[in-house]
Formats: sequence, C-alpha cells, structure tokens
Amino acid sequence: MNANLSRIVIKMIWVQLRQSFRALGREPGFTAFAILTLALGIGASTAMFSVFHAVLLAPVPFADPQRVVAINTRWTDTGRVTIRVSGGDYIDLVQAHDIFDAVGRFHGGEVGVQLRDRAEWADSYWVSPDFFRVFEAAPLAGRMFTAAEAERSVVVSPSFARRALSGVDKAIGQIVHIDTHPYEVVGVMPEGFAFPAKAEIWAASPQMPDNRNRTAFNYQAVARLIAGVTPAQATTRLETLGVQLAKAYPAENKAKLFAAIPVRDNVVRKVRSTVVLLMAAVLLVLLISCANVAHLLLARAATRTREFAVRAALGAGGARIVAQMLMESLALGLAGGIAGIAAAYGGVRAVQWLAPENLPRMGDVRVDWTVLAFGIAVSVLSSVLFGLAPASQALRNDVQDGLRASSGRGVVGGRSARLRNTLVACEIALSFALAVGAGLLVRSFVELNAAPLGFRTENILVTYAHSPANTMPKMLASTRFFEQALGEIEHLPGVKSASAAMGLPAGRYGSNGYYGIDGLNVQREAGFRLASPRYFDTMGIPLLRGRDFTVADQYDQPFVAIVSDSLAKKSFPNQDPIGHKIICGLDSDKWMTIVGVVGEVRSDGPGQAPGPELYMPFQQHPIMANELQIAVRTTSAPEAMTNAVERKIRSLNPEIALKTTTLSAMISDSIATPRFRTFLVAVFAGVALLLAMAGVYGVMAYLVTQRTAELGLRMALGSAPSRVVALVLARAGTLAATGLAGGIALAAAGSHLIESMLFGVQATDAFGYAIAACAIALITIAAAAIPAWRAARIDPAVALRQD
Amino acid sequence: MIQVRGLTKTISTGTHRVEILRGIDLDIPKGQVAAILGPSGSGKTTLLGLLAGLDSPTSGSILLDGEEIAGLPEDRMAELRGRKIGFVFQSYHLIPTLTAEENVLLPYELTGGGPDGASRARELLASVGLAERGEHYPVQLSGGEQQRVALARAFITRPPILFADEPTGNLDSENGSRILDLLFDMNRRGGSTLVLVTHDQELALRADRRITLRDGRVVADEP
Ligand SMILES: Nc1ncnc2c1ncn2[C@@H]1O[C@H](COP(=O)(O)OP(=O)(O)O)[C@@H](O)[C@H]1O
Ligand SMILES: [Mg+2]
Repeated sequence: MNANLSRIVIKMIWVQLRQSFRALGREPGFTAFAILTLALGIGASTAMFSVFHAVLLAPVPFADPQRVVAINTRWTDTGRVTIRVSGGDYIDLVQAHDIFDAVGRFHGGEVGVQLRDRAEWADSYWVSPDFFRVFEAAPLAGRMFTAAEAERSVVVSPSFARRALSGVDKAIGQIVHIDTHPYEVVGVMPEGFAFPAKAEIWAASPQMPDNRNRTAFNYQAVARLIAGVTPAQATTRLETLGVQLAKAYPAENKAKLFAAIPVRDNVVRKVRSTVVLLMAAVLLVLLISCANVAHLLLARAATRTREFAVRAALGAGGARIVAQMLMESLALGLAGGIAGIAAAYGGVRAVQWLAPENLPRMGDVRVDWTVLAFGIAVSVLSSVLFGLAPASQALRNDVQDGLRASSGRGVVGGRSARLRNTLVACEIALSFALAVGAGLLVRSFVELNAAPLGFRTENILVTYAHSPANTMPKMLASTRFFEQALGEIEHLPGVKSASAAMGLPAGRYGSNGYYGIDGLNVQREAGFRLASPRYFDTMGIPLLRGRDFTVADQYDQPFVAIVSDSLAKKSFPNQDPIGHKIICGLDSDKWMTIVGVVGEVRSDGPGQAPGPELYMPFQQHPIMANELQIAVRTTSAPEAMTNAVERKIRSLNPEIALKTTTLSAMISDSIATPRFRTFLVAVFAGVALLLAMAGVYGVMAYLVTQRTAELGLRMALGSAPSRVVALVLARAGTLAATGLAGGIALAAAGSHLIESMLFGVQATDAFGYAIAACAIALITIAAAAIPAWRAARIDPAVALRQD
Repeated sequence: MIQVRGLTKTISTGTHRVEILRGIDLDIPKGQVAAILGPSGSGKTTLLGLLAGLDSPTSGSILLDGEEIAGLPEDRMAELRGRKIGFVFQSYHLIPTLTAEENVLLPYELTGGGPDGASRARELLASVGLAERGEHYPVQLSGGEQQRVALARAFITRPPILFADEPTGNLDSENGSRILDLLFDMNRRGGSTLVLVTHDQELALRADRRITLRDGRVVADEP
C-alpha cells in the first residue's frame, strides 16, 4: 500500500470512529451499560491473564531460561513422580556431559540462623559449587564460593544482608552460624535471583553428596542444558541412563527413571491447574460479556432497520454499512477495553492480596506490556466478535422491507430475534457451567472445613523453635532445654498446657517411611512424629489405650512408641498392640515398645485422609529433636500469648530461632489454595450470572417493547394481564431452559477441569447442578419481572391507535 | 343493550387539557346496528374504546347488559371483553407471527374456548372466502384479505356486541363494500349488536341508526 492510500484509509477510519463515538454518545444509557459490561469482562480477563502470564508463561529470570531444567525421579510401576533425586543417582546424572553444561544440587529449607545478637529463621539451602553455574548467576557483591569451601562459606540474598548483616556492603566477611557451625559470607546475590523461591542463604556443600544411597531422596537437582538440547531430548537421554542404572542396581533402581523438566514447570506444577481453571473461568465471563453486548447491538440494529434502509436507498453500499457497524463496535470495544484495563490494575492488586502465600511467582504479577497487549487484543477481538452479528444483520436487511418497516405488514425480524435468543441462551449456558463449578467448589470447601481433623484447633499457639546443635551432646542438651522450657511455659498465666512435637498437623515438617513390627519383615508406610508428654492432651487427640509419654521416657531408658488407631488396626488386627515391638528408620535402629494407641489425625491438613502414624518421645530421638513445634493450649485468644511464650524461651536460651503462629492459622493456610480458587470462581460465577441476568432482561425488555402492539391487541381481545405476564415469563423460561440444557452439557464436559480439586463431593454431584439451576431460575425470574410487569400495564387502547 | 350516561373523557398532556368527549348519553338496544359518524378528531374512536372497555372514562357510566364497566379492574375488564365483545380495527391488527387460522383462533384460546375451536375457525374462514388461506401468514395476504381474517376473528367467540372502527378505512371501495357485506351478514346471522364507526355516508345508510359526533358531543341521532 502506498503512503498516500494508507493515509486516506486511516483518515476514513478516523472519521468513521469519530462518528461512531458521537452516535454512542447520543445513547448514554445503552453506551454506559455496554461499556460497563465489556469493562467487567475485559478487566477480569486482563487481570487474570497477568497472573496466568507471570505464573505459567513468563520465562524464569535466568540467562537462556529454556535451558534451565530440574531433574525429577519417576517410578514406571506406580507412576509416582518426585521432584527429588537420591545422592547415588545424582552422582551418575552429573556424568551426562553430552547433554548438561552444568549440574547443581541443593537441599535445605527454613532453619534457625544465629546472628551476632539474636537468632532468626531463614530459608537456607546447601548447594553444590556448580549450582550457580546452572543459572549463570553472578554476585551483586563479593564472589561465589569454590569447590574447596564446602561447609565454610555462604552467599546471601540482599534482603538478608540488609536485615541481618547491616547492609550489602558490610555483609562480606561477616560470620553467620547455622546449627552452631560458622559460615563466612563471601558474596551477595543480585535482587532478582530467587531460586529456590524465598531463599536467603546459599551455603557451600561438597561437589558430591554425603548421602550416596539410592533410596533416600534427599536432594533436588537442576541443570543447564547444552545449547540446542531440548528438555525432551535430555529426558530421552536420561531414560537411557535410567535403564542402565536399573541393570547395575536392580534392587534400588528397578522401575526408576529420570526426566528433565523446564524449571518453571517444576516450580508451578502444583498451581498450574488452579491458574488454568481461573483463566478458563474468566474467559467464560468475557464470552458472556461479549454475547451481552452483541445482543444489545443486535436489538439496537433492529430498531435501526429504517435508518439502514434509508442509508442504503441513498446509495450506501453493503460494505459501507458493515464497516459502520464494525466501527461502532470497535469504538465500544476500545472504550470498554480502556475501562477494563484500568480495572485490571485494581484486579491484579486484589488477586495478589487474595492469593495464598505459597502461590509461586505471585510477586511477579503485574500489568506489563504483554498484559497490556493482551488487554488491547482482547478488546479488539471481542469488538469483532460482538460486532459481527449486528453487522451481518444490517447487511441482510432488505431496503424495501426496511422502508416499509413501520407499515402494517411490518418486518417480523425473525432471524435477528433468533440470534439474540441464541446469544442469551449461550450466556445462560456459560454462566450455568460456571455456577456449577462454583457450586461444587464451594460445597467442596465447606466439606473441607467440616472434615473432622482429629484434634482441636482453637486456642492453640504454635511456636516453631530451632535450637542450634550439631553434636550428640549438644542435641541431648537441646532436648533437656525443651523439657525445661515446656515446664516453665506451662506455668505462665493463661496457659493450660504446653507440649512439643516434630510434625504438627498441617505444619511444615514431617517425616514418613516404612516400619516393621515384632521382628517380622512386614513393611508398611506411616508418618513419623516426635511428641512430648501431654502433646495428645494439649491437642485434644484422644488416647484410646495404654499410656501417654512421660518424663521418664528418656534417651537412656527403654524405647517406647505410641501408634495411631489405623496403624494398630492394620498391623495388629484383632490384637492388643500394647507391648508389641515396632521399628522405623527415622534416626535409630532400636526396637520400640508400643505403650499407647491414639486417635486418627489429618496430619497433612483437612484435604488429606488420616493415615497410620507412629509417635515417638522426642527425648529418645535427639538427632531429630532440635527443631520442634511448641504447642501451647491457652485459656483465651492464643495470639495474645505470643510475646510471653517467646520471651520465656529466649530468656532460657537467646540462640533459639523462634516463629509463632496459631494452629487455626496453620489449618487455614493449608486450605488457602482451595479457598483462593473457590472464592475467585464464585466471584466469576456471580459476575457471569449478573451478566446473564442483564442479558435476559435486555431480551425480554426488547421483546415487550417490540410486541407492545401485539400484547395490547391480545388484551383488547380479552387476554387478562396475568396471562400476558405468563406469556412473557414463559418466553423467559423457554430461554432459560434452552440455556440450561446447553449448560448441563457444558458443565459435564468441563467437569474434568475441577475433578482433582474436589474434596468430599463428586464432579457430577447433583447438588452443584441443582444450586446452579436454582440460580438460573432466580435470575431469569428477576430479569423477566420488570418487562413482564411492564407488559401487564400495556394499555389495551393502543390497539385502537396504532396503524 | 348498551346504556351510556353523562360520559366524558378528558386527557391532560402536560400543560394541555383536551376534552375529547363532553357528555354523551346513548341507549343502543340489543341487536341494533348503529353507525357513528363525524369528522376526523370528533371523538369516534375514543367513544368506541370506552364502550368496548379498552379505556376508562373520566366520568359517567357505561352499562353493558346492565353491568357497569366504568372503573372495573383490568382483569375483570379483560375477561368481560373476551366474553362479550368483538372488535374489528381499521388496520386489521393481525399478529404477524401467527397464521390466518391461528389469528382467528386467538380470542378463542385467550378465553379458554372448547375443543371445537379449530373447526369453527375453518368454518369462519370459509364464510369470509378464505378457506384455502388458513395456513398463510398475514404478510402473504392482501389488505382486504387481512381484514376478512380479522372479521372471522371478531366472530369466533360469538360476541353479543361487536365494535368496528372504520373497518374499511384502509381499503379501496370494492374491498370495502365486500367487508361491509360480510360484516352485516355475519352480524345478522349472529343476532348481535353492532356499533360501527365510519365516515362514509353511503355505508352509514345501511345501518338501523346514525349517530353523529362533533367536538365530543352527539349532534345528531337519526333512524
Ligand atoms: N391519548 C391522547 N392524547 C391526546 N389527545 C388525544 C388522545 N387520544 C385522542 N386524542 C385527541 O382526541 C380527539 C379525538 O380523537 P379520536 O377519538 O381518535 O377521533 P376520531 O376517531 O373521531 O378521529 C383528537 O383531537 C385526538 O387528537
Ligand atoms: Mg378514529
């Protein structure tokens, strides 16, 4: 196209757009409603897209992000996948020089760190020397550690440097202690480097792992692929390696394979389905708002038949009329888009505020250029989408018919009416499907909240406490310290009882593995937990048989254990488990005598069924017991006791890192993701229903306006107003029924999207469908009520006057 | 029997008050054919609307067979219209989405008529010469044909009183006189009262009585 021609075209578009805006300005009610509807759809989908983009699409902030992979272990027999690798396997994986430029390893988590004057919890990871090479990361200050510095040096995040080391500049050369072991700070990472998420300390660990067995999955591995190698190719290569290892180590590596997963996919794998669901839900809302505007425009076009006919009679070609219609919808779409994008800024804030803390990459969510481009693209696309129908309608108009439009023989407008009805039926179907989803999620969330946990949650303060210890005498001293601390806390005013555990329900720590009984080689899996005396009492977990742990159950005394009811029933059917022996690989190979049986507990939060648990006295397992959760039962609001409890512990030992919450907050956090998605889907469903209601209202109101003459005539011929109301409601009912039929099919087809997110309710649950159907019935009646009422008030004398 | 006493109708439109009917007294006995004449704007349509209970008067009373209809609630009014009154409009007012036969049937269905409706509708269509056009939609019919369907519709409930407001006003004279022939013929066979508005003096001569309105008053009432 030459420059001159394009200038003419642009000018024409501009003139058309300006005329369109002016035309819209003359109908402020219609325009405001259409823009509001569009802004809702575009705003919600743009906000949600910013989440979708930041969490699922945006590249990880590393050099050549597509080359950074995580290595997973997968069992071909059970299909189980873990993001971890064993030390033994890692040593073999590192050798795959033909696909990897660099391979790194890390393990760790939140630990107590001792600073000069206090102790703190910090996310700390022990990483192999090549870890940073995988990301091609360079320090902001100082340097990275070398292979020779294992267990001597750390690199820290700038936020940790500021918080704990008086600034990035002063950090280098300072010493921090982790479990009493000193590390020198040699470098500070740049601000944006957040791998693993929230990491504050990276400590140097040896090139090869200490634990080299092939059945303990203690490490996570990351690698940089050689340029040109895809994750899929790498996985194929790793599978070959896995087959070789299976031959070499048939006992441990049978049915075990490895896969290279893009590191982003690995980080977000748990929230992917939630984000996809929310995006799908919000796109439905967008579709509904487009349908709404489309049928509004159709109705408007139908009332303008005469105008188009006159324009055509005056020589406007079909293309010109279509162009005019499309320009009008584009003008609407742009106005709606601008309002929507503005709303998206607020929407993003709201979603960030609502999102659970553990939703990865949420911090990166923002309205950036990509999101803006999405918003604009959506606006233009939806303009075309909702503008097409009325435009084609305008094109189809017969000039003669149009000019005769208000003469007695009139145009029936059948096609346009059918199209509008179809659009509104679609709106109902879409909003029904959303409402079913929301209904199911809400029901599931209610079930989740109602699930019997097996312990009390009210009035329990939980303090995570880390006592630094790295030798057996120090660890034993730690257990004595905790014993003393519990005794003193119990005497604080406002405390009913104090206890401690490793592996509190819904908590961050826990361990599990196989156990054996009575010298038999029956191996079953159970959760391993440490507990202090009075733990069960404090938590309200019923002691079903035998006795609780006591202060007499010390390290040098016979080892004892308490088992949960389901473990007892599984391993000792029709027997009294008390007095039997049990063993597990937590930290020692001593046989323990079962002294008690306690009730079932949902250890992994309300969403997980209770399973077999093996409780051991923390004094007999000092290696695992320097990091405990102190559970304090209070007489009133537990939060108020935070300071008193922390101060008491610090007064006994200032080196203890402390962090306090409540058990009910922990339970609430454990269902934060379902709460988040349930809330958002419910909001989207609510918006969808409102839009559908507006749609039904629009169609019914238009119907009544269009048929005023006919309805008046019916009344003149003897129809009672109540029959006219029934007529209008019946039309709305037919519309709703058509929509419902489509909605049921749609909901059934989409049920697999939420199947895995449901708890205690089937995706086909009649309740969800019934609730949604009620919602549709309600909005239909509400939407049809005013037009119906108006129809009933039509003056039958109009039949005399209309010609 | 229609008895009208002191009937007035005043309409206020914002600042204006229009006195359309200024006190009408009339008695139309059962079975009579009365023509209402008068220049355009004299209040003929308004009077007819009031008599048929489509509109309510400002003051005065209207008794249909001794039953007061002024001020009846709309539901009762509609029921009464369905039971007692037939109407033929100047511009036919067929429902475009219904076939001719369905249009004829409409009042029958609205008043919950019996099962013989369809056959009676076909009979009536035949009697207006449209036996073959029952399945046709209004757009497929000429003006005269549409008005004949409207006639059939007016008679389907065998109304004791029939009103017609310039039933031939939109038709040429040939079609117009055919409609009137049918109207008088059907009325005579049904023995109903017929009140007919027209400004065609010639046609009016065929009625039993001519009532002339001017400026909302009866200025002449002659047999
Ligand atoms: N709803 C109304 N508002 C204002 N004026 C009206 C209304 N209905 C009728 N009129 C006026 O009342 C007068 C009589 O009308 P109408 O009964 O239709 O006369 P006709 O049928 O004799 O031509 C006319 O001047 C008309 O303009
Ligand atoms: Mg008139």
